Amino acid sequence: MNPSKTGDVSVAAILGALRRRQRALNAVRWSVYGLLAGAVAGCAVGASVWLSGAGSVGTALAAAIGVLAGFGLLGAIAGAAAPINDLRLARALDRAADAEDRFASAVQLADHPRRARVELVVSDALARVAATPAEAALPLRVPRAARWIPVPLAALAAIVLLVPQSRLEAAAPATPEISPDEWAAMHEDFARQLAQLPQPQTPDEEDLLKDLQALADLLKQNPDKKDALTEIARLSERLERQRKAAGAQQRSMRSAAKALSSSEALKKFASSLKQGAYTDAAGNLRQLSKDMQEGKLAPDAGEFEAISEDLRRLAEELASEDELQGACENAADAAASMNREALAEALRRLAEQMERNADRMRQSDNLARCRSMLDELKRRMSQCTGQCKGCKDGCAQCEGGGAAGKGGRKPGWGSAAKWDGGSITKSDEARVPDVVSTFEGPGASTSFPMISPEEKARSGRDYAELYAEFVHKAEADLDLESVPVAYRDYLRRYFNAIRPDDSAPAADNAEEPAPAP
Amino acid sequence: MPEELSLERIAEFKKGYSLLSAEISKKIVGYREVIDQVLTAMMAGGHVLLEGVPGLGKTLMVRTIAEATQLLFHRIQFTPDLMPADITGTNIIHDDEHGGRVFRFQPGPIFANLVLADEINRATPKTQSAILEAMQERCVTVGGKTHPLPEPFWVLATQNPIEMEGTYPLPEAQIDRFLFKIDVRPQGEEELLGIIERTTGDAAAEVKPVLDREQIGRMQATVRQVMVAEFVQRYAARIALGTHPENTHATPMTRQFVRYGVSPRGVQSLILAAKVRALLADRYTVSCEDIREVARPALRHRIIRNFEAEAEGISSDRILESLLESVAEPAAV
Repeated sequence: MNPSKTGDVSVAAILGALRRRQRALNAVRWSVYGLLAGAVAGCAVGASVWLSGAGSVGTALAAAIGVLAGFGLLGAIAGAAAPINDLRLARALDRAADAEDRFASAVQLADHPRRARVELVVSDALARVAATPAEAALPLRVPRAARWIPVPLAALAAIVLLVPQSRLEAAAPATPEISPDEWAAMHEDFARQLAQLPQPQTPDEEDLLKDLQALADLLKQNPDKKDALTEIARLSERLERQRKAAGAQQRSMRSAAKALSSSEALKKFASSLKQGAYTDAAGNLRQLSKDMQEGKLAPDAGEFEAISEDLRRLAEELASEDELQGACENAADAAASMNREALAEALRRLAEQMERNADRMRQSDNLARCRSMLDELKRRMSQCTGQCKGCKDGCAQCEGGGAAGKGGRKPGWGSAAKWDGGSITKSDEARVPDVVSTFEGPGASTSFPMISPEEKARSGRDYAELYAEFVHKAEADLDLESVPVAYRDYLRRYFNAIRPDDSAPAADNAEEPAPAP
Repeated sequence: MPEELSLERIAEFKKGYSLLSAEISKKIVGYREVIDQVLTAMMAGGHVLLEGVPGLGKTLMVRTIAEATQLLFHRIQFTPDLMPADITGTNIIHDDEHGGRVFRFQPGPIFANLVLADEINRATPKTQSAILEAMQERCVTVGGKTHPLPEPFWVLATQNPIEMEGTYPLPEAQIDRFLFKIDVRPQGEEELLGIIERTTGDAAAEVKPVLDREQIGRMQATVRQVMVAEFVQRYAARIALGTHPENTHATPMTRQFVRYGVSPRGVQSLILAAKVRALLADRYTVSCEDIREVARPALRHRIIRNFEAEAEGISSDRILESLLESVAEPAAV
């Protein structure tokens, strides 16, 4: 007979039931501890998610709950796998059955060699504890630690509710730099300007128009600002190449027409010129010449003087157009001489020159208009607020950051502002050149000549020579320790920017240097 | 080989115990706990030291036990001039049948089943130690010859705790041989009324013998057959070790007031006495509660207190109390 068994019950069976019960209780107890640890960890994770701005309230709470549940599950698994002390279970059953250590003794003495005595002990123990269920011996008790579980969760809720996430939201821009509405407005304006361009007459103009159309389509798609700027830069570079290839003048003839403001006889000519209708302008001049020859138009002294002044100003505006300038100056001289026939002849020659250069000037105008459109687009993309000193309408470079210099968003001069190597000594000087839109709007416009007639006097020294001397002096000072290393590179880039163009003809050396970058 | 433990033997044990207890109660009023402890010690085969002031009925109790058990009973009144030979016996010259003279051992009063050592602390240590061998080895050696004592053999000693003049405290070696030290305290009003009723009238209570020597021997054998699980043994060992100031199980009170803890003999006493309690509770195994129940009488006289404890009046019982509260049961729930 098996001494550890009496009737249908046995020590092993009772112990098995107790073990299962204990595993379940361990799982519950450890899961509570896991939940407590998970609550603390979840609070930390949720708070870090919230404070780091990695997620919203929902994300933070979801992370906390996930950690909480994970720890609880781990605790339950660990509890179920925890080792179980049979003697402890047996003593618990003894206590529940008021068996006075009978069952615990039976468990320990089951393997005793005195089998007869062991049988007595076991049967006595089983008789006392058989009716006692495992649930009575091992009642479910939720650990006291469970009451602390809500504390970390409440702390997390307090953090989420009370601690704002603002500093992190500020670090990550929530909205794009250019809104879809702004893109749409830019696309609309650009497309409108595109429609106002004259019909292309050359393959290059057709290609250019296609590219501009592509840019307009790009604007329609709310592109990345960087992509749009890249495209604009590419097109600007192409315009510049075309302008050089076509030998187009830097200034538009239409702008030069603004110089014709005094003479009544030249009004039609000025009007055609302003509209870019150079053939018509030439026709106006030819008609004017004809009228003068036929005596239909007999200007008085004041009119001759007005014609002379207008033509002389126009000649100055056409500095890059030698032939036109020469014809213009001749006409001005003829008007100054108040010789009607001479003036008629000079106007006829000017008309011929204009007819000869009409296509080139029209191309030049188109290029200038395209460049103006791109500059305008670029300015709007840069979201200039007009707060900088350098421009009234805002410019592409200011970006609302105020004047360049210390504390600004543009590179400043810092200690290098005290540099004595040249004239660039004012620390508060606007370093950004004005970008003037050459696109003419519907209203009245005013132009300001950048160089006065008094300053027109050409320098006695070659620019390249002056530049070399300037750079030599600057390079010597750049080696001083007082010049920060970062600024040395900046200054060298500046000198590279104003380096004279070696490919330019010698006559151009006398021109004014390019503005500072 | 003794008969194996069985339900019948346990019933027999309980019956004999109950009979003896009831018979003693005929003459002894009250003192249920004292009687239980004395009988427990006797069933465990141990000696008992009864401590109490005179007139509490200690001697009467022992005499009554002797009457109820049909055992050979001797009483030794310990006095300062008592000699060891007066207890153990001695060799005296006898005339033999041939007219010659020979030395023959004359047994002393120790040769009995039940020896009452009355006021044992009045004898000198030399005399006290005369019964050392008898108590432990259950034999007496006189003149180089060892004489076994009859079985069963118990020494029930009494001593007066308050009358210290002219007394000799029992040496540790001897006091350790007592299984129990029982404090006999004055009784209450109802018990005193019963004493008056029974002892001042003309009708004396008669005590009949209810157990003989063989029966007692079987009962003692039954006690030895009770099993003790390892966790109960461990609990008893922890309690014993807790009385040692340098042990890890020692309580702060033990460390402060105890000079020496109990000996291994103390653990043996603990377990044996607990076995008796287990049988009386219809169990075949000893429980931790049995250990706690017998811990005070079994261990109180084995704890040697230091001067500080004596000066502050810290009793051994108080030290044991703190120990029982602090020592954890193995695998306690």
